[in-house]
Amino acid sequence: MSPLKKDLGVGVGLRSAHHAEFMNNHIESVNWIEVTTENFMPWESGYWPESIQTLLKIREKFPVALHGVSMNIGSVDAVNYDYLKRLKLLIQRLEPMIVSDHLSWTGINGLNMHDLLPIPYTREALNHIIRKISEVQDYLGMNILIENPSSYFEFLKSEMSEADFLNQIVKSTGCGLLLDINNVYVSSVNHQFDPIKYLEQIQFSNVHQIHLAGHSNEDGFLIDTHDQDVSKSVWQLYEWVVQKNGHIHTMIERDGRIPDWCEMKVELKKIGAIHEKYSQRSRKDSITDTGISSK
Amino acid sequence: MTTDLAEQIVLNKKPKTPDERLAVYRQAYYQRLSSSLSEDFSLTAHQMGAVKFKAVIQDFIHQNPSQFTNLAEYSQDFVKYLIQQQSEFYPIADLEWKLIQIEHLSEFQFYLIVSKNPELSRQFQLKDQTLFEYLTQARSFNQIESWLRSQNRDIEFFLSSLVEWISFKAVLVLEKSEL
Repeated sequence: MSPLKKDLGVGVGLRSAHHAEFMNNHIESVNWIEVTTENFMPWESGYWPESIQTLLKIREKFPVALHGVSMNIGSVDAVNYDYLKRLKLLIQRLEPMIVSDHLSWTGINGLNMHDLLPIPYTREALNHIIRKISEVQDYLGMNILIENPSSYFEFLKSEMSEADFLNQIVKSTGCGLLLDINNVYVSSVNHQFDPIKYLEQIQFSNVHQIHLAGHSNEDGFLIDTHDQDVSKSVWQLYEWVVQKNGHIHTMIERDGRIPDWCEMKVELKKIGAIHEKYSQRSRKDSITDTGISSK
Repeated sequence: MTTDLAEQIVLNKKPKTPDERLAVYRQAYYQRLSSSLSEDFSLTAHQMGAVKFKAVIQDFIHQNPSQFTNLAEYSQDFVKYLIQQQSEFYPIADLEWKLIQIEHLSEFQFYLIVSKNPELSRQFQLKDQTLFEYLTQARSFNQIESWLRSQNRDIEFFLSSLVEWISFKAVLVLEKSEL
């Protein structure tokens, strides 16, 4: 992967509900898109999904980031080379600007829970995940981004904070961070910590993409559902990040109750407004110096 | 997982107990898989009835944890499960799975499937011109299903329409492949 040389601005997690809009119309509200990797990879049977044709056409107009949910990087299972082989085929076909996945595990013994499960932040887990990410990056021939998760429980045996865990992964593997500010907020409410303190621990020079999303509130417990507008608290945290660190390409994820594109555009404009407000602190130049290096 | 075991693993913090926190993932797992199956096998569910379908997919999910990295592929195991169970609903589930393949796969890939299923590739004569025109424009099974329901078509007609649609797609693919 080439280093990111500039802030690409506003992006969106493209879902099938908006494919026609992107295929048929001139879209000015976003500069790049992110898609869920597994929806476009060849199936295990070898078939390419029909949706790849649509994506390749949209790719002619927009840079694409691939965001996976099944790399299973935190599992005690060995690296899944069948999965990586299919991911590499997609990368070769799509030439994405970013490839990312989550700091989580999705299953063991070859089974998949189709969920992003939390990890005990222990030294043993850290060393294991560092080995797996290095193996993945060696196979793909590129560095990836790892996203901070949202979670609903913490392990009794954790030995360090999530931010420390992430920083050490980056230091040892050369991967970058995909900072999901909604995830920080969801976990901060569910586990009762200060989200600002979490963000202060993150080494922002390692952040190469930002996610914003909405969540559901179930009697004071937050679920990362991506089916609501971005909450006021998450916008405030995002503004704090931009004010303190400058801006980097940021996007909104929406996976449920997806609004029509006109409504989606209104929310996306808020990102641009915050960037504009703190434009003097753009990381446009500094990204070149701190960008993820190619292997 | 027992409450005792949950307390040995999970940090006990308000507002939820360790077991309640683990339950968020347990419920989400079942919800995610059952939603996907309900969406893919809506006609099978209709034929079985809601109560029986819920019980069947519960048993299926319990016996067949997903081994796929893409949830869309999990549904094929449900068809295999119904065969193993010698379910009378296997044929309609199998039909729905073929429809999913049509929706997901490119025409070339679908041709590969059709070529292994000669009965699917038979040409047919549609007498209902309105339906024919709709089917040629429809983009998905859900669109067709909604339209047929809005037309108050009975279930038998619905089933035969599905078969016709599969055949129609098959013919298109075969004709294209001969060019």
